[in-house]
Parts: sequence; C-alpha cells; structure tokens
Amino acid sequence: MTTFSTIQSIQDAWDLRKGALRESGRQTVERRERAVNSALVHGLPNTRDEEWKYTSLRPLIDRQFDLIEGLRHAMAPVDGDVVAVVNARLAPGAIPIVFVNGRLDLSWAGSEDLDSDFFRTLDEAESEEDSTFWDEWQSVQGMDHIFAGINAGLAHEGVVLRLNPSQILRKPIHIIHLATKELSNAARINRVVISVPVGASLKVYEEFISMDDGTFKPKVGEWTNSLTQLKVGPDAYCGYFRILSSVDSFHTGSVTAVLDRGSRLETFSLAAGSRFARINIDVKFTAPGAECILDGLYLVQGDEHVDHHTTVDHTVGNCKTFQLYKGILADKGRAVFNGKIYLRKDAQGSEAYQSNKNLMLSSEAEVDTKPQLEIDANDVKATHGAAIGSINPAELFYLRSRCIGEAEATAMLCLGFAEDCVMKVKDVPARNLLKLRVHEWFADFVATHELLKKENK
Amino acid sequence: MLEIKNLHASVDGKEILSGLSLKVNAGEVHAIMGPNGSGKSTLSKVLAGHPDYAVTSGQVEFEVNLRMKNVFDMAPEERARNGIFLAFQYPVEIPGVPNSAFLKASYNAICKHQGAKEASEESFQKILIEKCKLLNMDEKFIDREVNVAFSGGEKKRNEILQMAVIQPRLAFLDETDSGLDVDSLRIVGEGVNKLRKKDNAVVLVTHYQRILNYIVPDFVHVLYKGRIIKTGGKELALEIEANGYDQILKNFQN
Repeated sequence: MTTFSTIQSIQDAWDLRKGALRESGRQTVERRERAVNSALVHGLPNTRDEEWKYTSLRPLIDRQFDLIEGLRHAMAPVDGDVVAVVNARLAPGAIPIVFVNGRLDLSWAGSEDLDSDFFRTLDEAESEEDSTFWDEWQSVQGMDHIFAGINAGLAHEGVVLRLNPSQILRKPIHIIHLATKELSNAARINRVVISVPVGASLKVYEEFISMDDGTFKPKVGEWTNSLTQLKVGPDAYCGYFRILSSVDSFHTGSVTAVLDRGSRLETFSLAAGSRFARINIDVKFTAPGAECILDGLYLVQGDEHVDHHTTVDHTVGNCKTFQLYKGILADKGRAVFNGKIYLRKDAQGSEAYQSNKNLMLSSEAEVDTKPQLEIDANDVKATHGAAIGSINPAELFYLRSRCIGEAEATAMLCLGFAEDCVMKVKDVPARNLLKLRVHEWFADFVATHELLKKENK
Repeated sequence: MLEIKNLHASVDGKEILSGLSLKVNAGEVHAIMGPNGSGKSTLSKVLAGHPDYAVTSGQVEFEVNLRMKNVFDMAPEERARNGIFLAFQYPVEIPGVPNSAFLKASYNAICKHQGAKEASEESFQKILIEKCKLLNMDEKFIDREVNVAFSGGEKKRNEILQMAVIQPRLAFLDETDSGLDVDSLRIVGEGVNKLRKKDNAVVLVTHYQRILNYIVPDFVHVLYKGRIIKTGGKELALEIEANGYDQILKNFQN
C-alpha cells in the first residue's frame, strides 16, 4: 500500500465517522474535519523530515491497518475473559476507566468513585461544550503533530476528566486500553482530556495492553493512536504515568501538557513492549514557578522500534524541568530519543536538566539519541547529556567476586540500570506499579535470553 | 589452605608480580605491607580473578574439600563460592541495585553451591539484621543501593557486611583500613575479628600498622617489586611504621 492510500483510508474512515457524528452537532463535525484536514495537508512524513529522520512509517503503512474495521470493532462485543485480564492489571486502590478495543466500557467506570461531577465521556463533552472549550485544547503545543491531529478528528471514544478547584483526588485513576484479537490489524483511536484546575491534585496511570486467548505472550497486532491532554492549573499537581506493554502493537501516542503558575507535573513513560512505537510528549510552561519531571524508560528487544520525542517549552521565567530517559536495547532493537528543551528569551531564572542513558546488550541494537537544549536567555541553569554504553566490567566483576554467576550478575545490572530511574518516581504507588511492570518485562526477558539465564548447577 | 608459588602477573603487558610465593594456613592472619607500586593490590585482584590481570606463570592452589585445586581453573564466582573473598580497595557503586537484593543473591549462590536450600525473603532479612547487629552497623545499610552515595567508611564497612554474609574461608582485605576514621577502623577491625574462626584465614593488605592493633597478624610480609622480600612477626610492622622501608630495601639490594 502506498502512502497515498494510507491517507485515502484515513479520509474514508473520516467520511464514515462523519455520519455517526452528525448527532453530536454541526460544530463537532466541523471541528473534527478541520483537525483531519490540517493533519493530512502535508501527507505522511518520511525520513527526510527532521522529526522523522530515524523512524520510518513504512512498517505502519505496509501493515495496511483498517481504520474502518477499527471503528466497527469499537462497537462490537468481545470474546474472552476481559474482566480477569483487567483485574490482574488494575493497580490496587485505583479508580478504573477501561477501554476495550477502543470502546469505553462504562461498567468499570460506573463505580461510585467516578462521580459525574468530573467525569464525562468524550461524546458528552463534545455535545455540552462550546467551540471555545475545544479550540483551547486544539491550539496547544503538540497538536500540530500528524497523529495528534488524526486523533482529534477520528477519535472513536474518550473521556474528559475535569476536577473542581482545590479538589484532591487521593485515589489514582487507572485508564486501561485493552486490545483483544478482534482488533488484529485494526486501529483504535482514543482521546483522554484531563484538566486539573487551581489547587487540585490528580494522579493518572494510562496503560496500553493486549490479550489473546491462551498464549502467555499476547500477539494482537493492533494499531493504537492515542492522544492524552493535560492542563495543570495554578498550584495544581498532576502525575501522569504511562505504560505501553503490548508486544505486537503499533503505537502512535501523543501527550500534551500545559502548566500554569506554580504547578507541578510528574510524568513517566514506560515502553516495555511494542513492535513500533512513536510517542510524542509536549510540555509548555505558561506562567512562572512551575516544575516538570519528564522521565522515561524504554526496554527494547527483538526487532522492536521505540521512538520518544519530547519537547519542553520554557516561554516564561523561573520554571524547572528535570528529564531522565533511560533505555535498554537488546537483539536488533532500535530506539530513538529526541528531547528538546527551549529556554526562550523570557525564561530567565529557569532550570533544565536533561539526560539520556542507554545500555546496549547487543551489537546489532541501535539507538539514535539527540538531547537538545536551545537557550535564548542568559540567566538560566541547564545541563544535558547522552550516554551509550554496555555492561560495566567493574560492576560485573564486583558481583561475580561475590559469588553471583555471570548471567545472573548481568541480569541484576540490567534491572538495576532500569530501576535506577523508576526509583526516582516520587509517588510511591506509581513507583510500585512501574516497578512491577519492569519486573514483569524482565522475567520474560531473562527467560528468553541466554546471556541472562541463570546457570543450573 | 592457600599456596602461591612463583607467581608472575602483568597488567597491560607490564609485569607487576615477579615470582611471588606465599603460603597461608587455616587460622592464620597475614599482613602484606610494602611501598606504593610493589604489587599489593595486583596480588588481591589476581587471586579474585579480575579480568584485567594476566597471569604469565606460576601457580596458585586453594584447598577445596580437603584437596588443593588450581585457582586459575575457576571463574571469579567459583573462587568466591569456594571461599575466597576479596574486600575491595575501591568498592564499586551499583546504582539501582539494592544492597539487600545483592546480598541475598550472594547468599543464595553459596547456598546453591553447597547444596543447601535458598533463603526466603523473610528468613534472609533476619540473617541480615543479625549480621548488622554483629558488626554494629545501621540496618539502613540494607535498603540502600549498593555503595551509592556511601561515605568512604561506609563502603568499607559494607565490604565487611558482605564478608559476614558470605563467610569466606580466606578473606583478602585490600587496604580496607585506608581512609577510615578511628571509629570506622575500630568497627571494621572488631568486625573482622568477630568473623574469625579457627578454620578460616585473613590476609590484610595495608600501608599502616594501626589496623594490626585490632587484627593481630601471625606473619608480616614485605612486598617489593612483585616479590616478598622479607617475612617476620608482628614486630616487623612496628619496625616499618617507625623506620619506613629504607633499611629493609637496602638490605635486600645488598
């Protein structure tokens, strides 16, 4: 299939979607149509495009995902024990919001925890809110990415969470996007909109998983196009912890965040399984005194490809950014890290610390890293750096000299390298959830890699 | 239990050990002293199996199950499991790995080697707390990442904690006393003493006599240019402390 026909299929899907959307009102249709049109105006990007230099969309295009089929699945019932899979994944004490094949399953969300005060479906919010509301979400940094635009136009379903001022939600919200085999070769497109207004506090886990019947390793081969938007008001806190672990998936994810005066945003992006993933995270400071933690970990094996593109825009003074991304690459895995931090001329008194560290376990693995600081202000503190290395021989010898076999020692060092950044997550339940997912990934990784298999004497 | 015969070893093609011989029996304490660059640390590392050090000739045998075995036939972890322990001069920091997980992996590797049942999380925690008490160490050691943000003294004490968990038959302490304040020195010295048994041995590699006040040696060896040039009792250490190496080296060169 050519690039052109991919675009054609997006257009076709939109034409079909349009009909179903008529009920939501003319405004919604027009707004969505604008989003689709502006996303597609330049066509699909290719590797000549600086932003896509190391990530070719060819695997996604070649797979000929059926967007129309995807829509149909969003409406269809599902085989298999979804309840058991979701229950096994749900973080203890969290409020569940579950999407199955792109369809919001309200039987989970209907619990008393989700009072209608702050929870609405995308449909509800689209028919209730006027165009100013939506224009505001549409105009933020990051919405010009093609996949964010496609999502804004085509999103099947979604949720809008809007806390009240000073509302502190102690329980985390756990959004689970589950794909089942019914979604093979089809796409799900979901949007999550989160507003944490002045003085409020919210923690969200967003997790992308898949299942099929019987086999341990899920192989569904779905395409997920997600869009998550965060608005953090004055002196508010938002924790956003993202987990991608769907072994055979194709994933294009966009996250946008806008931070107001004195607010704090803590984010972590864990990519622990995806055949092809491109994740864009865009953060913008709009008033002084805000702080952003932007951490992540990618665990890449087989012939997986995981690309993180992040942007933090300091347009105002006295804000802080702390960014640490780590990656472990095995086999023929490929990863891309591109982190831009802009300290504009009015960003005096800002601080930005950026670091990307990669552990290579195979000579055939590849990482393309580009930490990037652009500084136009003179009174700022900023550092950035990238490191690519293999297992440290001094560390390995130290462990071996303490009776630990070479394979087990290597596995311990890999896990330590990964956990080092997970342990920096300040929120304890979030840290535990991320740790658990990293451990799950490792258990499987160790079992399938000779290099790490414990000797059996 | 340990017999080193005419050992030659080099690093980056440069010979550091040039015909070193040494015999250590169970229950003994040896001190190895010598000027900088004489090969003290090289000896420790060669025994532990550090990959950067190449043995060019000579023999090192260690008693395993009442039979002398060639140490060079064993990987570093096998040497450790059979009872050779090296306390590092510069303990390595390992970010992301908790001390408890590290120590548990060590402990269980030995259990497995000896055909014993591996310890559960709970029972190992008990063992660790017991060891900390024995060595007068803060239990907070257990939860921290291996040597990360440890002070110099804490790193050295952590080495002794590892020794307490592993319970080696032969402990090689490579300048474990360097950089310690008096209190840490006492804790380390007393800790090593508490771990001594009649069937294990300790070799102290040191620049200073002061640790020998705590751990009293049966033999003191002077290492120079990769060989032991003089052996004496504990009074030799006092002599070196008072007069330096000059006289000994002069006698040797004559």
